[in-house]
Amino acid sequence: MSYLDNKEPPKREDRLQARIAYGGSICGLAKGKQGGCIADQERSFTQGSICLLLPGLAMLNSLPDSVVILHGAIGCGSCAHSQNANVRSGGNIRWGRVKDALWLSTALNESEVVNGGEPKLEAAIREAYRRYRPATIIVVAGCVPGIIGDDIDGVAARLQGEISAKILPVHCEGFKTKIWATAYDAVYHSLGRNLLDDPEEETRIIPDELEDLKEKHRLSRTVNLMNVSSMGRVDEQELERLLRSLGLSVNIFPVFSKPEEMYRVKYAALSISTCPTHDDYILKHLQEKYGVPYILQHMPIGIENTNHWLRDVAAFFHLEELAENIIAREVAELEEALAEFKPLFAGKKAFINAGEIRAFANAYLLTELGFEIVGIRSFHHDEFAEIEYEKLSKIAGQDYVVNIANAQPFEEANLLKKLKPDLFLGHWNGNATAAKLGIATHVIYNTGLNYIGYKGVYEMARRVYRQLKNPSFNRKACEYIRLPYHERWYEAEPFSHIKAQGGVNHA
Amino acid sequence: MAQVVEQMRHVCALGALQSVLAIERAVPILHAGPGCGQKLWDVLGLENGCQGSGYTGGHTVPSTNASEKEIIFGGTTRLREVVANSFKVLKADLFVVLTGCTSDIVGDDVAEVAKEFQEQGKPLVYAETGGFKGTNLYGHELVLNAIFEQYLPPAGGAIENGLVNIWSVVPFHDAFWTGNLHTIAGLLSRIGLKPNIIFGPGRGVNALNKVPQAQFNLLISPWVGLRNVKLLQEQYGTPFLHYPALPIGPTETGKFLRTVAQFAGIATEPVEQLIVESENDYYYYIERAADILLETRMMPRRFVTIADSFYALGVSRFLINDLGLLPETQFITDDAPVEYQKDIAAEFEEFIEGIKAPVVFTNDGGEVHEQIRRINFHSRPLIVGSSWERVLSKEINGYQLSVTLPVSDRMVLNRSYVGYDGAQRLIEDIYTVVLQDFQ
Repeated sequence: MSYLDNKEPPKREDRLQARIAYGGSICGLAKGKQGGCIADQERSFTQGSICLLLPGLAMLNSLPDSVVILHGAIGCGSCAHSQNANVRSGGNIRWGRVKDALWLSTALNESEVVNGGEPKLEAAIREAYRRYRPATIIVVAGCVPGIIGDDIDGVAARLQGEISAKILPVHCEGFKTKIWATAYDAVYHSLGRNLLDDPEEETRIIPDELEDLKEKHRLSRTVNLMNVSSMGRVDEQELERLLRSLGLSVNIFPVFSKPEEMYRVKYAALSISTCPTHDDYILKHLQEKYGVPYILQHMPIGIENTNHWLRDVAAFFHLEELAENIIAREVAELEEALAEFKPLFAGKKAFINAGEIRAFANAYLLTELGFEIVGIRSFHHDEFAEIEYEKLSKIAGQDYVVNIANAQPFEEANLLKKLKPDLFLGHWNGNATAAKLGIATHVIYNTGLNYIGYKGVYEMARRVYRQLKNPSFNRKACEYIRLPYHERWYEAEPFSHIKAQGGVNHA
Repeated sequence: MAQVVEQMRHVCALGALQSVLAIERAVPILHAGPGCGQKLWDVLGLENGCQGSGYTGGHTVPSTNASEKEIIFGGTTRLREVVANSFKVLKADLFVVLTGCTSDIVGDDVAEVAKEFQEQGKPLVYAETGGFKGTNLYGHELVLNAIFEQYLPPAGGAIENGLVNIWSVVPFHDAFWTGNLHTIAGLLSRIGLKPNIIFGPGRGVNALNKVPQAQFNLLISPWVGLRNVKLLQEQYGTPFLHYPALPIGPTETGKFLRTVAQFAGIATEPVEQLIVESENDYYYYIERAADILLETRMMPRRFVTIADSFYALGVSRFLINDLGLLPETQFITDDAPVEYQKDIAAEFEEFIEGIKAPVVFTNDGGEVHEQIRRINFHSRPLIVGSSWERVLSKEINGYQLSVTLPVSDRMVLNRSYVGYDGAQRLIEDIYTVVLQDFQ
């Protein structure tokens, strides 16, 4: 039985033994020493993390001709405000028009918490349909319906006969998992269950065998390029450029893709992920159910990582020689362009904090640029990171700290005070702590900027160069701004709040 | 609250975590789901004038990140642990435990946990702000009352003559709160009062500790904060003056200053002198701007506000009474409680020349936009609202300015829209939109 036969996907703690609390080192984590197994630990002090709604809504809000209904309290899903900027600019860059994401809230109140929120959800679905006549209405459940027992799948099934919009239930109850990457599974789960059926058959009035053969050939050269919103259009364009240079057509899925065209994902020759944290759930499903093979390793950030990624794709289509030619040309051009920046980077110490694979891929990139990595924090750990640990341990000059943490800037502040890096790369909303310590920072994810592929390497180097050339903004700020932590916390062992489940702290 | 809410213009009660952060060196501790703080901060901090996280905001805020375990077995043990360690890790003067939906539904006894720390003399209070209980404006009232009841000393201290506590716009919900509060304080200082504000830079618990000593509480707000000044009256016998309209522009600001002076029982001369000086200054600039405003006739004639009750009332008073614009429907989007709506609506009948503005209370932006599309404005209207109106304004050929949540299209540092200077900023901003539209 497939996971997709169930109403909800399993949480990643169970499916992938994903973990969020660990302090160790890159060589310790590399295969053969730690293995892939990290004990399930927790923290005795925690700061605000992230829940499934953040990545979940980032994907869902981008879908054209769709309305998102957040079933929860009115503050739930308010991250959609900032994601709306991405929807506006993403729509503008793709289709030349600015449009807001359509998202509604059932704004559950006290009486609905007591008496159930299903009638209000039904009313909201009907109202969304009246207002917009969309192709899909996506019902996203926050914590409240999960606790009070509202059955969003039942509501969707009840109303499906009444309206022509496809109703998609998506489970994003934040309390159910500590691994918010489960959100990718939750969204893919619903897309996979609801939007992959073929449209009603369009038969040719006059049969055309040649056209059919052409279509068959085209599909044999079409690949799915998975994007869960971790790449902006600029990054998609870079990967499209590389894939087209192999003679392939590209179908980007699922962000900004039209619901009525999503079924095409089944007919591609290959699915290509840029990050296993994002896509393993759906890619395995597409292979099992529809026979679409997939590639699920190496995030194309950094020169060698992009080479690996491209080689894997080329090997599938037996285009190794072509790929080597492309790689040789791209890398030569890139190295020449990077020469200008490298002297400034040589020997500078860098610290990185980001999502699992992205953090490690960027560490590889910075090493290629001449930085010395002194520490990495990644949002979670699972089996997919093992190959990254191994790759990095091989190129590490000396061992360095790895901290698995879902945000938790207090641990970061402690580490940065001790390690004093020259450069910090942090996720969106994750650069303030380092900046307040006067460290030059650069954001590691922003859909308006280019990070991916060979172009991404150059753009990243150019931006980091600029940042290091004049780091006065952060340096000046740190003369006046203080972090809120006690001195005694900086003196403590950085992982002293990490403990075994239900156990004592590792002092 | 509407049955379904499109285009959120406020958040839930837990959004009051930002009111705690507005008190210098005060730290919220969330007993809530793992993403609640991040989401609320996302709109109140980032997408509303780029206000950011500050000293302990954003991901720095301690949180129990409630999981299945806390839902099934109760979360007080976890809360106790996180609170105890918050004191060890973070430097702060006041900690405020705020609960989210998860804790309030399963019924954790947070009061008991808070009491344990209070009995140890720790500066900690708690408020039950589960998101389903209401808006962040309601949450703001809950948090202030919790601080008054659990942190402030009992009645009996000395009263300082002339000391006035100011309660008005809600921090972070109003992107211009620091500037607005600063301007109000400045105006009151100039008429001889000693303004006391607990929010914003350089204030913190010192200002908070002075709250019981005030001669009176001044509430400048259509409705938010009434619960707070009433509690302070009950707790300390402090009288309060409720002034509903945010004073923007010479007409309203003059009226505001005279009302306050009369309530405070201070001499009228310095007040009248300040008013004359300020009006002269204001009209010096108006005289210069008049050439363009009068000759080009490009200032829109008709306007709507789609705003919280502060800005809907304050801005419409200024645009009608001082700038000579005509109101279409005014939309109040802050989910103002039904019991206050009649009084708020009555304020929209108090314009000069007998002008009245119809008022619609709804927090459903979809409904607002549907209604606006049906209005015949005769010429290009001015749309004073939030960044939700950017796309709509293009569609109906309006001039749009974001002043109320979400203000995602502007950076705001210390800009103020209050008083005489604030009105000048508003004219600058509106007319800049007009000028940039055709150039």
